Amino acid sequence: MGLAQPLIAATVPAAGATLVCLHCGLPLEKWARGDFCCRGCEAVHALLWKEHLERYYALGGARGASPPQARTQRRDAKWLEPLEQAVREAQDHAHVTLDVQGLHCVGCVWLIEQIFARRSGHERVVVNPALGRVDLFVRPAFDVRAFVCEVEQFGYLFGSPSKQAPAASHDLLLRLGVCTAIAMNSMIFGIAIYAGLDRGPLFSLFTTLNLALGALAVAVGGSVFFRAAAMALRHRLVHLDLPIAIGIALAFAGSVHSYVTERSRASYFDTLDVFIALMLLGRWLQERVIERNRAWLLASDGAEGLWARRLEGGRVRLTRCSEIASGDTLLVAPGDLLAVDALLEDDRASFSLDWINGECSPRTYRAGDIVPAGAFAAGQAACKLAARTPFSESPLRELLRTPERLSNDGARSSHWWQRLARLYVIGVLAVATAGFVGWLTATGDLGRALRVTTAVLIVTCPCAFGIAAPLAYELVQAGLRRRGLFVRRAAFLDRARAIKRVVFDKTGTLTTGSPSVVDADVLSALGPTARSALYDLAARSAHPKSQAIREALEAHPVAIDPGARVIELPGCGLELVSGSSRFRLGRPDWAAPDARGRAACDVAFGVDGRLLAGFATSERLRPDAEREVSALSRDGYEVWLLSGDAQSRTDAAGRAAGLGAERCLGAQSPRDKARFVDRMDHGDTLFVGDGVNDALAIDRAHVSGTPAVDRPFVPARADFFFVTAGLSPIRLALRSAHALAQVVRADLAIALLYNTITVSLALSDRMSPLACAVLMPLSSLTTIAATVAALSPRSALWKS
Amino acid sequence: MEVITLQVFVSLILVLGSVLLFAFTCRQRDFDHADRLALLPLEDDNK
Repeated sequence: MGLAQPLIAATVPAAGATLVCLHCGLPLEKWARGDFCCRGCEAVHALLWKEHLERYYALGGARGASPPQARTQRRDAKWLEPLEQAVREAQDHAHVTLDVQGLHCVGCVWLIEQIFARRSGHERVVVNPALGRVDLFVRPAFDVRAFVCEVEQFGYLFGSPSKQAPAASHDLLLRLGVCTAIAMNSMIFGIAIYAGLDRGPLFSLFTTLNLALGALAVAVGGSVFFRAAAMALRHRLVHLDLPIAIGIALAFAGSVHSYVTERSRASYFDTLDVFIALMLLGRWLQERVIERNRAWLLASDGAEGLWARRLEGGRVRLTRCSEIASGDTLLVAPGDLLAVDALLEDDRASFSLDWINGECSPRTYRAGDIVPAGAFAAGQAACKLAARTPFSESPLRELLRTPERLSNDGARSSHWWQRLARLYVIGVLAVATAGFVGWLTATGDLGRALRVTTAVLIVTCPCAFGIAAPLAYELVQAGLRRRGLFVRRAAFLDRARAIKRVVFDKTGTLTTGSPSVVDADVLSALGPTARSALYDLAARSAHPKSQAIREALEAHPVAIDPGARVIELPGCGLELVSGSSRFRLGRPDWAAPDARGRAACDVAFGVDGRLLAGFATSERLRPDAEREVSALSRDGYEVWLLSGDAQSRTDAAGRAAGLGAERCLGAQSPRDKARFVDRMDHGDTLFVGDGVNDALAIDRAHVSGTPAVDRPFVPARADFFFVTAGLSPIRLALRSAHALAQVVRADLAIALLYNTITVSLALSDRMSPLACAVLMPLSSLTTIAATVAALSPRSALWKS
Repeated sequence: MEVITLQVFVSLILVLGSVLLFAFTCRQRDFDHADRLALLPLEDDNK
């Protein structure tokens, strides 16, 4: 049964509400394209309707995640070839596992299942959004490449299966389930005791069961914190898990002591079990968002994931780039990445260098020229090159190196938390010791002194650290995710508070990476025939300047002629013969030689050598770049622009974004950028870049981010990535880091108040297990409520 | 009193059973693709 009425996007706002994108549901800015926040959303929305897949919206698809504008023409897809071969050679059935980027909801799962089910040779598909993985069960007739291409049109990206299953939160979930069951059951026994059961065999049974359940909770849940604390101590760090581990160990030891020495007063096992379950919940919340954010992207397998086509004895063999030797003959197909510097053997070929220096227009090379490593073949045909160096000497190797994970990568081990944890541990131990010594000296009663000490250690269990703070991090990370920014490293939100300087790369970061026509009015002067011919030419080329002209033409009534024959000549442009006329679009001296020297343009459109229109193109800033740069400056951040592009173009982009020339540095090599960051960064610099040429600077910066979600090795190094058309999530992330700190401080203040009261009661020997069982969850609930009120999706932070 | 002891025993067995079932679903990694499982009630619609 299908739905009776066609569905509009599920995000249509109520009257008076903020306007949101019909596809992704993100708020529409002034610069939005009609009902959509970006071209990607508009295209995917149109495609979903065309393919009758609009039910995607009814299932909540796309909310909060604008589709990346997949640059499929610059993606290396050689990894797909061995998988295709395996399917072709299978007897009856084949199982193909693919990593996928961009899955976030049930709508995505449904969409991929629908596309899969429409292809011949399909059997079964399992889409796993938590892992970002798709398992295809197919017959040999199934065309894997066509399936991949079709799904990628919707903004998803596929890659070879290299993701590791996230073990951390999986293990925590199991422990959390077991400890929650233990806590609930021990509370049942505890309530009977608090209600007056204080003697007899049932009392003995319940206290013994509580002891057993407490021991089990410590073994299953407490061990997580013992292990983490021990590991931190081995690295001479006072990790936030240390006070939790000490709290659990001492509370358990004190309760056992109480059980052994004076059963009638029962013990704190039920409180301890609830505490362990809450701590595990906090830990799991913290792990979950980070893992899901990481799984959203393809895994980076760095240089090891690169393949090359090598000619061996007249045959083409797919080989790992690490095996390329100097002198090897390489065949580079359109869209392939060149992994080493190589000498072009064919007459002519064009390559895109945007990875290397940020140039968005392809460059033409001739026989004998050296094409640099990192170039993408941008022409229509494969070309032959001779490797000049082995891969071990390629500059790409260092830039694509998979970064080592920092062992202390987590909010719980940031400097601020370490200091707090140290103070906490010292404070609790000092108070407990003082209580023990004081009572022992005053009364000479060892049992009473121990009881007071146990009560102190139990009531000071750090709930604010263990549950409220992780919840605060989770809420901020989830809020940023809804706005299109994905935090990859938990420590980012702590480090972001120290940021005073924001450094942007130019191409692809501050700008969209694609050019636009400066004066689109030129098109109005063209007649209908010429305009149609121009559209036929521009629509058939993947060149960024052709795409810019096609976009500008879409404001006019034009339609493509399916029968038109367009030829693309690398380095020159496009040619269309229509009747007796020869239309050309491309280099001015080739497209309109008659107008040589007269046309102040970089692309010309001519007929039979005569100039019809000249187009000047310029790089387009991200739609909100100017606003965001000035807002960052207003907020007190020092904003810089670095680029591998020429100084003049960098200055122009900086000027357009409202930056002074002294803050714009052009012609920066990857090492120059890294040196700049080294020089300027005193633990206060955020670097935002998108290219392989930014990799070194990203590594060096205190905090780094990227919009380059189609190049997994860049986000793999960065603290966050964003998928929006604009830059606004960056400022939001910086602001939310400060808001988070305020909330955490408020939580700690509540915890301090609670501890002052309960420690006073414990020190005066007035604390009972019942009072503890009530006060401790009360304190947790208060901090949780304060956190949710300050950071929930409806809070002022996300509305401003 | 024996009845309560018996009830406690039975309830602990039930708890153990539920913990084992939970561990089983964790091992199946059902929580990883809960989004897909949520679609199962709609399967007939697709056919």
